[in-house]
Amino acid sequence: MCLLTNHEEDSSMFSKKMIKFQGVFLFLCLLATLGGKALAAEYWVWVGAANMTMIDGNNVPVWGFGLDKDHNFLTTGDFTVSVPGPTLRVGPDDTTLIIHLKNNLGEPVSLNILGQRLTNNSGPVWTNFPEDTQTWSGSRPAGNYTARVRSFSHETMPGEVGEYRWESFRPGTFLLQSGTNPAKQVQMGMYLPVVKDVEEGKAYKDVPYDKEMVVVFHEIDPVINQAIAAGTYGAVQGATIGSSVLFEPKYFLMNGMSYPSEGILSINGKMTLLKDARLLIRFLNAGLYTHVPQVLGTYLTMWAEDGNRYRYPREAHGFELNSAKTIDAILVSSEGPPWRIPLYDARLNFNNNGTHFGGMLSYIKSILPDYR
Amino acid sequence: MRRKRMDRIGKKIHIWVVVLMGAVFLVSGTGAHGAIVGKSGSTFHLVAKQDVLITSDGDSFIMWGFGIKDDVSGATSRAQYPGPTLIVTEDVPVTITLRNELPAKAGNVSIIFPGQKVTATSRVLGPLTYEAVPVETLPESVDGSATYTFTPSEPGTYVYRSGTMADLQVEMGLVGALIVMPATTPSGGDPAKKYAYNHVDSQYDREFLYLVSEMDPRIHRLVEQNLIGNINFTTYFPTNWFINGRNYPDILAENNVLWLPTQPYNCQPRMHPGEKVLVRFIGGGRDIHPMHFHGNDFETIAVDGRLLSSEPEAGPDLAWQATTIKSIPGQTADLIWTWTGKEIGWDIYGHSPDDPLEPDEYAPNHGKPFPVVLPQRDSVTYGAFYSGSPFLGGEGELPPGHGGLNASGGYFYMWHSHTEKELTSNDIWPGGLISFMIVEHPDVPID
Repeated sequence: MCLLTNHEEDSSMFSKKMIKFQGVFLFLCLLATLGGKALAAEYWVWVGAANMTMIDGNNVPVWGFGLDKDHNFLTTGDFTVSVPGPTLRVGPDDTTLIIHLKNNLGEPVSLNILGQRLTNNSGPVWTNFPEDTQTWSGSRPAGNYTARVRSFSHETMPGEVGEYRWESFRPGTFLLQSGTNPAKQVQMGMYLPVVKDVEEGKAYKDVPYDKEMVVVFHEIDPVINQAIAAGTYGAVQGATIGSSVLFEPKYFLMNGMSYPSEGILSINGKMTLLKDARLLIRFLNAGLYTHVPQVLGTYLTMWAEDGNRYRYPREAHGFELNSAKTIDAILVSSEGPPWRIPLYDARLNFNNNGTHFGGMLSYIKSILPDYR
Repeated sequence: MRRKRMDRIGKKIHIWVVVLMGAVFLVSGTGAHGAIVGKSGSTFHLVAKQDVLITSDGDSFIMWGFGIKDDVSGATSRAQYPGPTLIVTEDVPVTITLRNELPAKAGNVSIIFPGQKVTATSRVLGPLTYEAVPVETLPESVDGSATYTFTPSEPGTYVYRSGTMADLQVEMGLVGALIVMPATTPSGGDPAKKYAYNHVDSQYDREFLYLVSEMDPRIHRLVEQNLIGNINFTTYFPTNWFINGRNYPDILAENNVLWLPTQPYNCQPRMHPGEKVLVRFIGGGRDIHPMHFHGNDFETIAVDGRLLSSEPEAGPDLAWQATTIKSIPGQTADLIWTWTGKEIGWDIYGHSPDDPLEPDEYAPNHGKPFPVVLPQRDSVTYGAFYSGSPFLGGEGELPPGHGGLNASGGYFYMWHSHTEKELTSNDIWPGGLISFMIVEHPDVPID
């Protein structure tokens, strides 16, 4: 059975999208029956530049992913970029993930999902660094020992559409990032979560859940972002920032928000968790620093790491989440609503651009159900 | 007591065991009978205060720490770093009151207890918990303290830290250890022995605290100069590192040494061969430190106060062994470390085969000769902790000027951070995260 769900929070968009979405969804299922094609989750994704407003009002340029509203890349501006990008879901019965990527930036991009094999990968892409005027795909060009890899997978050039297919997509929680010049592009915001269950309502074998949430930890260095957006980053004439060795983040975020923004005060949105309800928390670190997610007043049960189910679960009130790591944990609600559990970085990144009090502090909330 | 022995090549070796009463340098890192140093009970009155701490490079800076009120005298101690180690019992309700005697510029203070289900009250609810208001800002009749109550449901090692402006307040020193002892002897256990958890496989003979942290002195100077608003944690750069609140070599001094009045805890573990030592390992700061243990692997039996078990009642069957473990901020781990000389391949006592065995001696090595001819004393340079003899409990001629720092002939094993720059105090070597486990001859009294 095809099962495609989209976890965007904007409920007013939802009904409109569902109608169009269902149209596509049914069409795909039909194709599957007629053509004998494997079931696939398919997404149309833009990558483009935007300005992200930080909690202190400063605007920081970012490059992020956004879903195309009508899946055809025909309408200009038919997408909204977010950092992190939207969570893409691959259904339990989908064997394949297909992403059509439209590049609205001024330089080549590519995609890479850590832990999944890109089936149609015709990369890596090599260039004659630093001129970057010549490229080769696949193996190192024969006899050329100065060429450097610029992209882990095949590139999508500015203005073009590229296709990326992951067949035999494994269940779990995974981080998708740009595969091009990652020291530059990833920190600009080119990352999003990709999730797949083993079956409906089960993250892994014998790991059922009632509700789920995704938590992405990340940081932003506005000086580097500004240099990248202005073209004064890297091995270029007039560079103000030579490399990411100088990374010194000023903003510390969870799901694109810093304390005390409204969204972070209930990072799981409007959710009711009754007594004994199991909340699946998909943790990802899309930043460059190690973070230590910690909760107060309860324990988490850790079930998987990088999409690999542990043989035995482990109870912890905090754990190490290094850069690009994913961890799946279950929080069991010990009482009925309302309750609030702090979830924060035990490495104490509690400032916004050096000013107290802010950064990586959020709450998981269970609200009273609204029966109206 | 002195014995003379002939070794394999006929040279006389003096082997004697020194009684340590009055020895200045080497003291036990543990309390009575190998127990952890701290305050036992179920009700504690903590006071957050400003004071000064001393680093091993001879520097000193302002710190904020928890002092504790003595039940008998009613007097409150000075602030200490780390805070008092609180020793409580499983299933017995705990009440902790917190009075804020920090200067007004510090603002409110609070305590969070990861791993415990806490009920808190006070006049002010902060982002993480209820907070205590500085007494300086309140009229005398108004009680600004906070009260925290919880009933620990599981034994183990836990940490407590400030929950207010935690990046600043934990940096300033508001962190400590909470130890929960089991309520009863585990089934199949011996009431005369000590257990960390409710399972016989958590048995240990000695225990000690190993709380790792760091500081950036620039932040403390800004606090001292009333420039808290200028502190910027995005440029955080620690240059001092601490185990149990002291840098090396101050960790080697006694507990409660007079010249470190706000840093009462040392880190000087000592043991006899065959004993099991429980290391209560806590990440007290904000950085990760890979602590590296020479002498033998350790076994991690629990993390965050939970045994590494495949299922309930199975005990630590998922324990893992390694030489290095990272201190993760806010996380605790319980490590069991032991030593018998098992793989050394020669008799560590210099015995001949017909000598009796020492307690817990690794029998297969008994009587095996020392495998090399030692160079002459004047052909080598001896390390500071070499006793003059390769044998446990032994002593030998030391070159002139050698400090003789190994009074009882023990084996020194360095336990240190493998981020080697952390082995300094403000760029002075040696300093920071260096410690030694000393394996002592069975006849050497440890406590």
